[in-house]
Amino acid sequence: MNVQRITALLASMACATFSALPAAIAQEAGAAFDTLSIGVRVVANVNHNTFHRYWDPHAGVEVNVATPFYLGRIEAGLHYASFSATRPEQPDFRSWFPYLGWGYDWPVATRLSWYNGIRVGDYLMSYDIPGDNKTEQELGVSLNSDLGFAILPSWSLDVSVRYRVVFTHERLRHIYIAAGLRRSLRTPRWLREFLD
Amino acid sequence: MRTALACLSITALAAQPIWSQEGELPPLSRQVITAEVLRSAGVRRLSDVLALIHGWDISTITGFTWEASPRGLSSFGRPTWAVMLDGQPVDLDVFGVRSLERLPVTLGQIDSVVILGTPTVQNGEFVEGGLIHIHSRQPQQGFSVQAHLATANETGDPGPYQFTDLATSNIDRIGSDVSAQVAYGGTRVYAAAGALWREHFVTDPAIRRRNSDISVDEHPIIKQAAASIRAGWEVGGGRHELYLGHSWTRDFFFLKSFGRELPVESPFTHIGLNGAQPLSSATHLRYRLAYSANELDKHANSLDLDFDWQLSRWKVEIEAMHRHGTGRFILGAGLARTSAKTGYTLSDDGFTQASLYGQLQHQPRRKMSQTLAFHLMSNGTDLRVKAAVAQRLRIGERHLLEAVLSYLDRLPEEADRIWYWVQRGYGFLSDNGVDVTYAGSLGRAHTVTFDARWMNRISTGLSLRISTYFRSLSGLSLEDQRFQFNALSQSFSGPVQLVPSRRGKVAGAEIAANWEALRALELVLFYRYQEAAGDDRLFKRTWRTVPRHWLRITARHEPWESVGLWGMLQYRSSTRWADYREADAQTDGTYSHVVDDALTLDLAVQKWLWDRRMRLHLLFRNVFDDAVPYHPIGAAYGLTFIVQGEVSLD
Repeated sequence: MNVQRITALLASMACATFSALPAAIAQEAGAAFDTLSIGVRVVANVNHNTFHRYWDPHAGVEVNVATPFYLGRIEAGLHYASFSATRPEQPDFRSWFPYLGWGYDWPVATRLSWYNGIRVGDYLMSYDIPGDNKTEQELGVSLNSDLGFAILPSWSLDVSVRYRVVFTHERLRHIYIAAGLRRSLRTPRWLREFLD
Repeated sequence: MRTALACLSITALAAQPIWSQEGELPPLSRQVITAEVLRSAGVRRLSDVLALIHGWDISTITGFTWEASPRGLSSFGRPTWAVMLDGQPVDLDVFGVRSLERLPVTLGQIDSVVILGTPTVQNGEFVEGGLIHIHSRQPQQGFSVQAHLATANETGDPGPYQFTDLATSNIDRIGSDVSAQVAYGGTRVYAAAGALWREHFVTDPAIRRRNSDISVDEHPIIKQAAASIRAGWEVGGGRHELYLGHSWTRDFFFLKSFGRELPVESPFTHIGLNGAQPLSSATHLRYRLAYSANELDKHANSLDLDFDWQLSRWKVEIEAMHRHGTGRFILGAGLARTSAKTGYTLSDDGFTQASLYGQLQHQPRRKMSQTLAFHLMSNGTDLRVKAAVAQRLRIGERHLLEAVLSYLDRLPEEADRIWYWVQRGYGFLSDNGVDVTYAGSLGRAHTVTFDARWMNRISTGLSLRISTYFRSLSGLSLEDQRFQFNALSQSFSGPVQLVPSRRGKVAGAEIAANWEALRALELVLFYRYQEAAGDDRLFKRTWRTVPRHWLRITARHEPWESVGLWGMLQYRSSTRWADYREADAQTDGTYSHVVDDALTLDLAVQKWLWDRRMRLHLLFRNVFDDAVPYHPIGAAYGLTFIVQGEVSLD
């Protein structure tokens, strides 16, 4: 129990209780779930730590759907990546990271927006070994900062940087950069009513 | 009709808002946990409710069965709190172990859980250690279907490092829970049927080691299947309700005197019929019939251990309630038969108890009420008396005062501890090498309790409650056991001495502040201090297993209609378990007899979908990831995430 923990605790409690604005403000925004943004990105792991003594990362791919929320934006997606072992003692493995996320968009310029958010998901690992215990899963939390540039009314390019922690005993700490294309469209009515 | 059926219990506990200027003054110790709160807090199993009760301490070994110590009324391992389901008392105890999970109730069946923290008479029972009363949700008109799925995973797996020199042991999922119910509601009849399936992976390394030599299962998993049917109908102005419930649990049953868990299969059956028939506009007749059976059957294990135990109870009660002017009087009588069935030869395989009980409520003025409750029980040779008197007073619009005084004495057979049956020939412990000595015979236990509470409504949304309590307990039979660590089996054993006529006092104080602000924002701060006093070292030692300080801050917020946020910060002070002092030294602190103080934070977010027909819930338990156990040899959970989904179609 140190100062950092107590600070984290106070921040978390404040976040849990006061982060969302009252309903009146949300009503004014009035755009929750109105649009869907579907994105595809190439994702590359760029940091180097203990993990990388054992495995080399390959570029991965991510598909992602985002929609305006009552406050900010929520997203859901899947990030796939694979890793090659640097030594024969360790197996190669592939990973899938299905996640849900929330964040906030700041309009920086007319066609430029800056999104910062958090993602929480299940980090699934599949090892290239024979036998039953080929898969494992663990909680993953990722911080994401994304810069989007609208090239056409419904299309935009984005680049982002993420820091993800997977809560294995020895934490997997990865920094990723990603770049991709995003398409916006109006949410079908049935889906909007389902989500709202 | 269904509203009336919901009020079958003697007093309509959940109905009266505490600040209402009309009607009866409700007990200030009452806590109502609504289905809405259960969902916000991510409750997926009944025992999760224990963690939401203010002032009740909890402890667990496996993470599946939880023990509770309510407000100094009993310590861990001596459960005196009662469990009721829709006005029917339910017997869940097996050798003094009370696992709420054995009650076949799904989350979707619960409308609210009402907690009482002071002794009183409820539905023919004197609830000396408090009450957990589960009220079922009444079916909507027509057919409705509800399904619930939950899965949980503790963090800390080795991940890919399992193939490196940084490998650690694997931590499996905590478990998956699946439940469903269908219901039908008509104008004069309703019915609901529910079923559930649960798995609880016993992943704690210490528990795995303890059970590796005895369990023949590949993975130590607690499994449970349960089903229930509830039906209510109205005939001739009377209301009747039938409940049939059965659960089967493949458990790792921890019997303290044996020092370890044992694989068992533990079926539980409860059949109850209760109803009310008006005799006049002021007088009602009520009845309750109940049968329950608790079993500990053999599950394959390498030591071939078998509890071979079944305890069944029949109970019949009838009571009359009469209202007259400012008073209400209840008088009832009951007969109960408890029977044990085992391969061991018992000198006496059961006992019969007859009871006479009553309650007088008098509210001469809108601002004052008095309640006198009594309960007499006889086993044919001894008569036992329990009584409670409560005085409640409203001062102005902002102040409520309450004082509750109770006296009770208890027959040895009421405690449902293993010792009562050991003295009658139940030989499981002696057959398996547990040396038990008696320093005297099991006697009658006496308790005197006093509670005083002051509640102040500071403003419309802010209220403050200050409480003190005092308990004087005597005639207790306490276990004096010093566990030795057995390195070969990784378990614990030691001779047990049952010491009668122990006595002592417990006193405590609580402060609770409740703040409801903005729209759907509720903050609750609760602090409790509790201390055991007296000259009896064994008594004080028993109570050192219960934390002295206990702080909780709970926040619940619904910023939008379909979004809920919930957080709970808790602090509990350290506890000492003297039974494990020697084992602590023998294992160089691996099994410390001191359970450190713990600060935990749980956070949850919930989203309703499809016009509140669907719900997704994500709970992070123990965000700080400090894995502090509740018990010296119990599981310690680090950061755990729990995902739940629910569908309700009306």
